[in-house]
Parts: sequence; C-alpha cells; structure tokens
Amino acid sequence: MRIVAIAGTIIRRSIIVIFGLLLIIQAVSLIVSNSSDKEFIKSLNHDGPVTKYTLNKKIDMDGDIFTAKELYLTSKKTVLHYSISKQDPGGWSFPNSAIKLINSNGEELMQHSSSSSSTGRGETGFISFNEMNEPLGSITLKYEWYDRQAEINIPLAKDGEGQ
Amino acid sequence: MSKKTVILIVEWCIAILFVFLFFRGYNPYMGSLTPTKAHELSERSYHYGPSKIVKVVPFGGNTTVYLGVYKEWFSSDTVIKRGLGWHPGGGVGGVWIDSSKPLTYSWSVSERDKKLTLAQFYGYVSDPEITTVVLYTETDSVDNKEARTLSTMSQEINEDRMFLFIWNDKDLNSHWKSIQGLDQEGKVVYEEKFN
Repeated sequence: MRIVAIAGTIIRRSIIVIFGLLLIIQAVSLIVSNSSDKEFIKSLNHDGPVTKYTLNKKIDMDGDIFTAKELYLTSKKTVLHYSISKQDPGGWSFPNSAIKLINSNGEELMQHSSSSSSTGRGETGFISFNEMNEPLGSITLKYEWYDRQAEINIPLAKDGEGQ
Repeated sequence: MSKKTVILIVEWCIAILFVFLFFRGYNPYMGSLTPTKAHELSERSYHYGPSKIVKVVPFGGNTTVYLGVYKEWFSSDTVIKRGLGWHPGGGVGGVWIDSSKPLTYSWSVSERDKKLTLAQFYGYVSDPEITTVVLYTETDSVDNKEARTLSTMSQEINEDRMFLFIWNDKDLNSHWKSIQGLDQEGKVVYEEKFN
C-alpha cells in the first residue's frame, strides 16, 4: 500500500509540474503574439495619420468563424485586422489570398502582404492592401476560395484618428 | 476526512485540470492519431473539400498520400508522421481540372530530411481514350555526373481517372522529360515535353 501511495504522489506531482510548465509556455507565447499585434498597429503611424474603422463583421467559414475586426487606413496602405476561431486545433493557417477588399467605386484593392500568429484555437493577423483613394461610404469584403464564397458590405463609420 | 486526504484530492484535481487545460489549447506537438484524421484536419483547416478519396497511397511508413477529387478540382493531400502523431504535409489545395486538355497534372518536390526527398507527379486524365500514363525522367548517374540515365514510370488509368508517381528523389536528381498518355493499343495519343 505504501509503495502505491508513493508512486501515486510521484505521478501526481510530476503531472502538476510538467503540465504547469507547459501551460506557462503556452501562456507566454500568447502574450508575446498579443503584444506584437499592438506593435504592428503602432508602427502604422510611420506613414502619417492613421484612420481606424471598427468593423466587427463575422463570416462563417465551414464552422470556423472569421472576424473582420478593424480596418486601418494610412496614406500608403489599407490594413485589415482579422481573427479566425477554429473548431479544432492544428492544421493550416488561414489562406489570406481568399480575402478581397473592394472600395466603394467597385475597384479591388491589390493585396501585398500579410502576417499572422496563432492564438490557442485559431489565429489573428493583418492583411495589407493598397491604399484607398476613396475611403468614403462603405467597403465590400469578399471571400472567394474554391467553391466557397461570401460577400459583406460594411459601412465605414470613423472611429477616431491614430492609435 | 484527514488533512492528508484533502490535500491528496486537491492535488489530483489540480493535476487533472492542468492536463485538461493543456489539451484544450493548440498543441503543435501532438498531431492526429491516424493518417486519415490528419488528412481530414488538413482539408477542413484549409477550407477545401471534403474531397472524394480515390486512392490512399502509403509511402515508406511515415507518409500517406490521399488522392482525391472535389467538384472540379483534384488534389494529392500528403500527411506526415512526426513523433507519435500525423500532421498535414502539403498538397491539400486542389488543382483545377482543365477538361479541355486530355490530362491535367501537378507536381511537388519536398526535401524532408537527409535521406528523403519526396517527389510527386500526379494528375487527372479527362480523355477517356487514355488508359496508361507514362512519365519519362532522366536521373544523374552515380559514377558519372555528366551522363544521365533515362527512366520511365507508368501507371494504368481506371475509372477514378487519377494517377500518382511517387518516389524518393534523393541522389537521383530527376529531370522531368515528358509525360505521355497511351491508348489501349499502346499508341501515344497525348504527349507533353518539359523544358
């Protein structure tokens, strides 16, 4: 009985220590990616004044929920801040080229870069497009990926200048 | 209940909670238990498919390829075993089947480790006359780097219309010469030369 009790204690405490450490590592990586997102938003200031629009529009992509969070407009580019929450962990990161932005004149903005980081179940990231000449009225966000399609028109209400 | 028992129960609760919390979050280390599960995860997370699997091709124990068709696309989704689990490994995205062409093909070469460079040449045959597909390659000779050896790989086409040539290209450095489609009599009805 004594040996069983000692073995139980060893197993229990090693689980606590090992998984405790692993959880700390997970938490730290989440905090790091969160602060790098903030850094990125701050760095947009380099191109002059930044206009921020809060979008908060969701698209259901086969059960994964894509959220267009905010849109940042600078003199040089248009940046979409998005997040996607996934049903299951692992797998591929979100294919950014599936997202298109169309301005109020019906012109598609050229996409030129993107970045993303994992957030537990899903990811958050930024997709940069060309600058918008006419940031008035509304913007259309299109999702086109193989046979998947969605389109939402988002009225742009100014949120304030800079960050 | 003695104080010892209370501590014991509390410790067990913490241990179980930690394990639960850990597996709830994203785990790059674990992977899927079976290759099929990894394939399904691969397509689901890529927002493609689910494709109709026409062939499952295991290669060397640590690789499994799922040849599939989804609407007007075909793919060669490859999953890899690393450690205990299976992980998505590429080729998930569909290639559009150009039905105006006798056959549509795609390829991939990925250097996996020091011993394995996985080469894949795969495609979909639209022309019903084609019953065999032949891939011609030239490989570097072992003793003479200048001389090249011609080699051929062939595969019969059945109702699923798909083919896959898969091999370890390490030390071979294959140069792809041409792809041919042969009819029942062995006559070349389609040929495309590379380079």
